[in-house]
Amino acid sequence: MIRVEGLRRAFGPMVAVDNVSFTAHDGAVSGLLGPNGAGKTTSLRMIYGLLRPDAGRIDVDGFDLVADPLGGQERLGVLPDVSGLYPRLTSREHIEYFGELRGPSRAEVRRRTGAWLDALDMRELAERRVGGFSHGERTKVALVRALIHEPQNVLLDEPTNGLDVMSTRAVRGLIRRLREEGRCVLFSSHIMQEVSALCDRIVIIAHGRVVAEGTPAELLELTGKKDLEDAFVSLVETEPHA
Amino acid sequence: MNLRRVWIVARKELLDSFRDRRQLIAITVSTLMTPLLLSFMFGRMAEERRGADEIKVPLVGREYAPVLVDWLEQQAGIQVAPGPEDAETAVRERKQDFVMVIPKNFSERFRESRPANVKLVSDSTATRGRPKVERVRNLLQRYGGETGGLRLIARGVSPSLASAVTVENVEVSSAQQRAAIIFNMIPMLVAMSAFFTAMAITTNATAGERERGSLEPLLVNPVLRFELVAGKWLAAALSSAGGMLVTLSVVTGVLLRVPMQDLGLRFSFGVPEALQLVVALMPMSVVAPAMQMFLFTFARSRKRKAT
Repeated sequence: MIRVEGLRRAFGPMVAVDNVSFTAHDGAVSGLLGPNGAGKTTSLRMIYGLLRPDAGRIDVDGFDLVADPLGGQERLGVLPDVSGLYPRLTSREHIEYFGELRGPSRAEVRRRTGAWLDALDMRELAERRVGGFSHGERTKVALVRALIHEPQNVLLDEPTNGLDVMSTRAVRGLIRRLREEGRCVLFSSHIMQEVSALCDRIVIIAHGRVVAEGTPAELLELTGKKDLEDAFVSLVETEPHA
Repeated sequence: MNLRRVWIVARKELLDSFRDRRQLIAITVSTLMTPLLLSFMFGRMAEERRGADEIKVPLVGREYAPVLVDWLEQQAGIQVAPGPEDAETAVRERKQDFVMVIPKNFSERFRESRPANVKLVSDSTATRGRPKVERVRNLLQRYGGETGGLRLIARGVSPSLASAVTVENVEVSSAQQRAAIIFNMIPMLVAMSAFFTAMAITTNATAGERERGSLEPLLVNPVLRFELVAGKWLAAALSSAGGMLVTLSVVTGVLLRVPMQDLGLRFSFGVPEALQLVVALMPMSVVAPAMQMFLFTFARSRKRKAT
């Protein structure tokens, strides 16, 4: 479970994230929805311990991530907004590198890597260098790399960005599977269909602030609109430019 | 600090950089170029020296000065051979480095104690033959001097009267010193190879990591920053030490093959000296990557400030 309270971060005079609070529960998919530049990536970066918040609390399964970033990171699996792979290493080497850094023995990492490669139908990619991979193939490698230590909490920054239909389906299937396993999934997106298709709860962010939070039904009720996209647009536009 | 994690990082960096074939070739060429060039230079120098030691003198008109030719042939490293008829053309066309020509009137003038003429046909733009011509000219002058001295003695005059001024050449740079200049380059070469080989990993592991965007996923792992830096440094230090050992063994191999005596150098460089160099230079492979990583990380964080 991830609980965020009063998160704030400024870059110089620009306040990227201002007083953001929300909770992502176990066994549920939470979506961070917002237009480009709303502060989604900045919020996620603070949650996975790469940026220090100026103010606020981040609680990951009871660990105070601001005070003890490493303790919180133990419980997180992260797919950042860029896949950031090493072109000269193979898929397997990427996955095993991160797996071993997380602590388990080599044999255990081997076993898990094999299982993941099977699960995502990546057997033939395993021994190839990622330098020549398509965007979808890279995303798969980055996903497995993020999940190899079987984290309770999974953060995905725009996981389906730029993927084709088949890869998008695979990623969505994976997200549902993680929910069924009782994990806490938090992902960001600016794509309405995706969020409505997957999310149990939606947090809408605009201009660095949370403008609405709730289940898709609650959001429709709140705005009195008939579909989520209209609801989203009306919520983002009514936000006063403070 | 968890040493296992440090080693995992180091292993990955080593694997990653050894896969970079282009960089591997660039490093190999840049570190091995100089020792090979050095060996080529030494080889040429030795050959030239040897060339001056064993001179074949193409001679025209041997019959006009049999005594002089006999004397020449007794000098160490001198062989007299029949020369070409047209000496000047032969030299101009580089068929011969030089040709010695004794004119017809030599014996007549010699007998009459008049200056007898000997021609040395050479091309001063051909540097290869210069030491040979020089040596033959010196020998001929010595012969002239000795004969002149004998003539003076025969007339009851001391030969020293004829030499008002004598010049003595004092060579300040001893053979060892000349050798030292060249051999001083060896530790430099080896130290530079430490920098070159470390560079491949340090750029890839610091600035490169950021450029590819792979730093962010890496930092998401619960690993101390210090462990990451230590692992990257360890990889760079290992490859730097490896690069240095390879360069040093190539240099040692080259020097073992150089005929030092032919170069006129009294200098020994063998395996014990190479081992001493290893001990003396090893700290380089510890410090060089650390310095580079500091620089490249600094460059990176400046860039980060800009974004």
